[in-house]
Amino acid sequence: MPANRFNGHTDYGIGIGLRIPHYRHILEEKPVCDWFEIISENFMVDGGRPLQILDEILEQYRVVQHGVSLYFGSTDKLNRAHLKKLKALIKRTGTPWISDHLCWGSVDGTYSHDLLPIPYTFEAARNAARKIREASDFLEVPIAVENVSSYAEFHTSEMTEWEFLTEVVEGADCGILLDVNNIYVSSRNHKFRALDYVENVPHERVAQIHIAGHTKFEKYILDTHDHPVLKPVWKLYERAIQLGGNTATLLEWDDRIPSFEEVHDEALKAAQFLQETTLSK
Amino acid sequence: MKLREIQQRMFRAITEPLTASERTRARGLDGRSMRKEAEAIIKPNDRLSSLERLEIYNRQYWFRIIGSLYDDFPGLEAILGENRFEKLSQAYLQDCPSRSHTLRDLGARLEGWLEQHPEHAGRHLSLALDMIRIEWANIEAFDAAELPSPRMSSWRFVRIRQISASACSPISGWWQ
Repeated sequence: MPANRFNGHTDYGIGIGLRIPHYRHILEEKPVCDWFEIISENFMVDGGRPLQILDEILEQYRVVQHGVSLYFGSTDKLNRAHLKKLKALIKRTGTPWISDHLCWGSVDGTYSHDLLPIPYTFEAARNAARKIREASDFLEVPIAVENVSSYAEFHTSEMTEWEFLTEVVEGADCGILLDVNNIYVSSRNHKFRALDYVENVPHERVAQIHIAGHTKFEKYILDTHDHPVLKPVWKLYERAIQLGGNTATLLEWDDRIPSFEEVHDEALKAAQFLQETTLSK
Repeated sequence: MKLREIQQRMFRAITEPLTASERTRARGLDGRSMRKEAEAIIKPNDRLSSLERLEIYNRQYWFRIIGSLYDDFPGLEAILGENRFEKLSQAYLQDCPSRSHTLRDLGARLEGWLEQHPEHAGRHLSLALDMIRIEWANIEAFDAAELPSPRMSSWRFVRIRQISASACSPISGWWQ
């Protein structure tokens, strides 16, 4: 859905992740770009250079916040101090929605700084949904949760990942940040049909889509965000927008980052799929 | 197994220190079999055992947090050398794992920890501590709140406090 209540009824087009190597180019050349996604935690600070850069970006561009540490899947309680800092940043950026991962990563207040997979159980779904609702009530902005890449499956799982995602987002009444690269990576690591995932999520809840590159190893695939988007991921993207409509799309490129133009050109390849979908309707 | 127990056991497993060849240890620090621990939680597949799947996360954990210390304390690494810095980082992070949502705070307790564990800096202890203070101050200054500049009229209330020059002199000597 191009605009829905899970992305603040916006229609943002194609964006890229705001990364340090591109700061100078963006601020000096002011290239055309629909929007930038920022990592919230990098700007949840008291002042200094990060906020100075952010304010300059906000003068020219639309920004959406993406987080990496709310850990909705952890059994730990939400961190109130964290939420307060996040809310202050939301007021600063005016982001129409925020996103974070459907994962866990902390135990008893100690952090792994990783995006760890959740066992797909009803207990885990209820836990995550409750925390997403609490966060959404406090932050007063729509939340979309992102499916993560995973390298492990649990004995205790009771359903498929897409069933689990559906259980969580319907329980929390929140949106989905559908990462089609993560779907591809997990489908290869766990041997399921990636299209089954894309076709069976509640499309009306998809607020945003992520595309990215990955790295193949001998026995598994790792979500590295250091390559262009590969063909099978584009195919999943095409199917996702056929089913859900033209959705705000973002290219992630986090390692071995090339020039701004190269990253942006890669992201704009999504435009041809968006146009085809629009023409076919 | 309940969700909380799965998370506690998996967290303990992925934060176990790696071997010298950066693999998951056969036994955890408390002597339990890591293979059995992995098998209790994680399913194998046709390419990877439960332990090999756990190892992906075990390695990611240590690579990420030690990498973060490398980024934050390049001067300390230059003083200690790569091997000693890596051993120090691993020992520090075992004693002081991250308690913050951001990796930015990972080195916050490094100075106090090294004072308690001076053997990790050898004969460079004083220099290492000075460098940690400078590099941590740099991190704090980068994103600290901006305070208004003091007005001239307020200077008469300023008290000058003497601080030791020893914190600076070894650094300047080292750079020369």
